[in-house]
Amino acid sequence: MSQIDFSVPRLQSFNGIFLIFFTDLAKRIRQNIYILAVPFFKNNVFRDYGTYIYIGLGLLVILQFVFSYLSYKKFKFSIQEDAFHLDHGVIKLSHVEIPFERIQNINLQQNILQQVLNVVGFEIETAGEGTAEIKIKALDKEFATALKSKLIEEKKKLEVSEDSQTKTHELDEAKNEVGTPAEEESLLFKLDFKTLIKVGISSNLFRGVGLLMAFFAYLYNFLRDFVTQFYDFNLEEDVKDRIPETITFISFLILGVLVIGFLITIMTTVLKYFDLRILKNQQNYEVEYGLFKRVNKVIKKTKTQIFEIRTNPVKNVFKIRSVYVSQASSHQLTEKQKIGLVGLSLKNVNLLFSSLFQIDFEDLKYDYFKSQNRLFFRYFYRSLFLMLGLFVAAYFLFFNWISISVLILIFLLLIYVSVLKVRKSNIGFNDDLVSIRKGSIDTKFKMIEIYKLQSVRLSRNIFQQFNDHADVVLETASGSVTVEYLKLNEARDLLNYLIYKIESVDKDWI
Amino acid sequence: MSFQNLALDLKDLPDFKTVKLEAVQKRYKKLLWLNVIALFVPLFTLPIFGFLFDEIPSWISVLFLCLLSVIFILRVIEVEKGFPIRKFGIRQYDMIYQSGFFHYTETVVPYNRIQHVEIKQGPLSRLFTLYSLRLYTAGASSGDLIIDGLDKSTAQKLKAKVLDKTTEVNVTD
Repeated sequence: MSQIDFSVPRLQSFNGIFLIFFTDLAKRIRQNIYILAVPFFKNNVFRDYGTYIYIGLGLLVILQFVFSYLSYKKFKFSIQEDAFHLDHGVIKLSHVEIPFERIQNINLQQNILQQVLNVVGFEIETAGEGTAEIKIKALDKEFATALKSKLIEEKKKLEVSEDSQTKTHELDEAKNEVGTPAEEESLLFKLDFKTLIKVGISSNLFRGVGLLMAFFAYLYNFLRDFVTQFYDFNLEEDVKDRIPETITFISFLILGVLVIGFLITIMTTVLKYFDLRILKNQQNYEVEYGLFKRVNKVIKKTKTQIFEIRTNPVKNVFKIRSVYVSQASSHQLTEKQKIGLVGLSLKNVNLLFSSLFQIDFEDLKYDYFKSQNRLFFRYFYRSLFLMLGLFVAAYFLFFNWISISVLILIFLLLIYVSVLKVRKSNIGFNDDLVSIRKGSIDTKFKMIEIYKLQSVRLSRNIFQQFNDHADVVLETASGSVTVEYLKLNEARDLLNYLIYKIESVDKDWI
Repeated sequence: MSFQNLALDLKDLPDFKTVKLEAVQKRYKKLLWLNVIALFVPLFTLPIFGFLFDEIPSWISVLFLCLLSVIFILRVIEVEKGFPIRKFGIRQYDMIYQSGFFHYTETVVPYNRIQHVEIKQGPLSRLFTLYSLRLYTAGASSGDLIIDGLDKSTAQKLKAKVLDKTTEVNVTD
């Protein structure tokens, strides 16, 4: 790999042109999807202006190709002695420089298009403001791995030379942080297919149902527009007239939606987490998963902020757990950006936890503060608002005993979920960690090392000021975590304790 | 409550509530008022114009006016009642800030978690020669601490204090 001269500015892999073109094109289409609706508002658009529309579209596509080609040509990167350099931009040229020491993670990934074109995506993450993050869309696989190890090598060289001037024990740590080349990686965990199916089954099936519903809603709207356009009949009236007579139809429909939603959930989970592997790389972990879109992510010990364990009753039966790791970032992390490790046994979780935190997971003992029962009213009012909206909608759409009883059922369900949520919500803390428990039917534990907290806040709305309760907001470098409705004096004690810990422990947060 | 797990008693820890807090500049309230006026005068003219046009049903204007009045009154209460609450305090290792009448928050930011400090002045605050101090922590901007309505010397003193602490901690590391 050393024979590749990285100091010459070079382009992406040739196939990159097509990749850039297709992704840009897809982006344009997604941005302008609403144009598809135009024919529904105006009759005869195609008959009157058909040729012009096709010519226009053709021109736009050609223009897009030229633009994509130029952006491919202008996208040049190289490694100079001190930093990774990148030039890009067609109209506005920009030059990005990332010093080696600021490189935090290097991720390689392949989505389906990249697999077809036989290239890999290359991402450099930095700890900084997020603007300097670099994404190279298309590289040859060998070149990408060579580039990755070259960058890691440079970073390591730098850190070793820096550390040799300071304390020696930090040197070991720094060495470990950088991660060593591929040979020393050891496979820690591999998700087999049976467990993967279990993960799918135990996933929240409402995600799949939601996807299905969204799809149906879209399809329904589309069909209605389409059908009423050509035939003189009102789908909505027709459906509305028939529904009350056929309750069996509805129950079958609901059952069908649930079953299909369930299957979709399993399928998406299997696709997403196919062949999940966790590789141990000295102190760091490398995670790989996905069938069509292969994702490769690095969990760094120092960057790890929140360690989240999720279980639910089905997962308990299967004896599996999911772990979601949040790493330091310049913005609040979305669900998607957390690194998900699914289908782990308790033993795996232990292993991962103890090597990330140097604390034995099973020995953990906490003191607890519980969310007070008044929290129920907050959830209750929220669901009340939601139900009011639904009732109004039902009143105007189809107002009959079925819809009302369904709504009442939903309301009772929401109340039940709220009760569960209040019961589960608490915060545990000990010398090193806080552990926040949340959830309703499922349970989530968010564990944070106290010295990694950035600031602590007590937040009390006007009601809480009168009845002496407070929310505690913990700010971390990957977003905030809130514990709701603690007793005021407990919340104060907690804040004092956490602040005392942050200030007295002589450890840097990263 | 049993704390056998912790090496120290929670009651013995320094309590952030005992710190004497300082208020921000009095003239900052005028600026807050100016902000409210600048926001609500145009908003109030909208429904009044609505009455003049026949195409807009008058109940819409009335509803809008009512809603706007409620929001306006709440906002006024927030400014009037909330202003005396806006206070900051300095301890040896952290800074404390509290604000808000309807939503009262107390934030504590340790100096050794502060990434950098900024003193800012908007066009309106230039009119009143007021400054705001922003303490940046790592991560999302929700964790940053912003203290508005300081005069120049206080803002600079606070900045120096924070910077001094952050660097001092770094040196001793």
